[in-house]
Amino acid sequence: MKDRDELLSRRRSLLCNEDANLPREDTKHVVIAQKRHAVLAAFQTSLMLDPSQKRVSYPRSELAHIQTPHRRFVMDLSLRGFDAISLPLPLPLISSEWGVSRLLLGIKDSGVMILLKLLLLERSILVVGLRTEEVTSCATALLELLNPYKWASAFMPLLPREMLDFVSSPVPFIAGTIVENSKRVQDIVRDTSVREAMSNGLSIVNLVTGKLIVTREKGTSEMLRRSFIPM
Amino acid sequence: MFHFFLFQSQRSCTILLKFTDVHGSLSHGVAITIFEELTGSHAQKICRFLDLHRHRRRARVVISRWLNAKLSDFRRAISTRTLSTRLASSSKRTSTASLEKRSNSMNVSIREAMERMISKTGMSSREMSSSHSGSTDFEIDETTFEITEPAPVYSSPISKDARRLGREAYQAMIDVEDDGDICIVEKSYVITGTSLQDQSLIFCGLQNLINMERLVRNTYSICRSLVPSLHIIPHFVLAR
Repeated sequence: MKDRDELLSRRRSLLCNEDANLPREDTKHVVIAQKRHAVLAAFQTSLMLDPSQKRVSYPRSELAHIQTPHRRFVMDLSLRGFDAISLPLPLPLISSEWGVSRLLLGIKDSGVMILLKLLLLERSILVVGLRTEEVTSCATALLELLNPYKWASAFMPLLPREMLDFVSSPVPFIAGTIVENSKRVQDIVRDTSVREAMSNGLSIVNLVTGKLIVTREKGTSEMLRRSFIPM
Repeated sequence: MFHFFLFQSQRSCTILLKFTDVHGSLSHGVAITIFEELTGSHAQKICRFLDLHRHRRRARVVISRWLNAKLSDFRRAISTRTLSTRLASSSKRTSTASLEKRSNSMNVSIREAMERMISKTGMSSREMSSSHSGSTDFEIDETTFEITEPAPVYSSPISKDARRLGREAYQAMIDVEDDGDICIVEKSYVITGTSLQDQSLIFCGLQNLINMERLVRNTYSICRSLVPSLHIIPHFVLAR
């Protein structure tokens, strides 16, 4: 409560920023920096769910989920330009919900199953896409697929194009990379280091065309094929 | 001003982050990268600096072209003289001046230019040697004889469409240059140490923070455009 009062008083002081002694060009930056610090401080104190909100879960019945009013998390800082945050509870999960659904829509369920098997075999995966949010969320979703196991090796949600030679790493990894357009995907696939890595266990998830290019490593394809045979 | 607001509404990149430490444990974070136009005195300084560099580069290009032209003229003159010396010794003399003129205009090697000239004029080698007699007043050893490399001859002429497009592109470049330069800044807002379940919440907050800062910047720019001497932001503009 005391923190909240302090925050409110600080906010009021920020809103009445009329310090005429500030230098001309720096005024804008100072005001922005002060407001930014105030907002970040508010994030630390207010932008979190309380225990009762954390306990909210989806009802078992879909009908009940539609009919009953949804609880929402609301935070309003009363700052101009800062819209009130209002999200339904339980909070939407970006990686495990949006990312997994994007993977399923992209490479279909059979592709996701193969990916999961490759991850369990600790083989490297390179996710290629056009947008950063798409690539990073899908790369993060791969970790979610492994639950309850944990990925114990390297994870790079966004690998810069200049560092593509990292694919030659002998350590298994999950990485994502961005391409400018769909034609550039072929440049990555035809890259010498990528082709070499593909013969050593690297698989590529192409989110642009929705294709999964499985590694050409000896033994892995055989293991994947055997895993489809029912016991 | 329109351009400014147009640019402000351009896209931003959203990134989900996870960091792996040496122990293999993951920590989460979110990041939003935005691209904005830099305004104010800093932008003016940078633009002035870029303009100065552009002028210097143009000056360098002009000087280097002039120097290259002079050097190529000099080399051509030397090679023409050496060639004419050899021709004189083998009683196949021709006019150095006309040969040089031909080679310059047709942009081919001196030998080819001379062969063409001979075939076009229809002069016999004897006639040519008689017309050229006494024009060489220097002696150069034949071992120093050199022939310039044949220049590339573009057999396919440039089409009218290509010329038109090139003209339009060049005109567009000149028009854009009149508008001046802008500085684009790439800013990344990163929050680390978040939990996986609260990522959507943090994303919303971060996006709102970016929107708020944009609003402050836009408001300040508008106020400065209306009142150039303004150096504070009126509180009624920022208050809700």
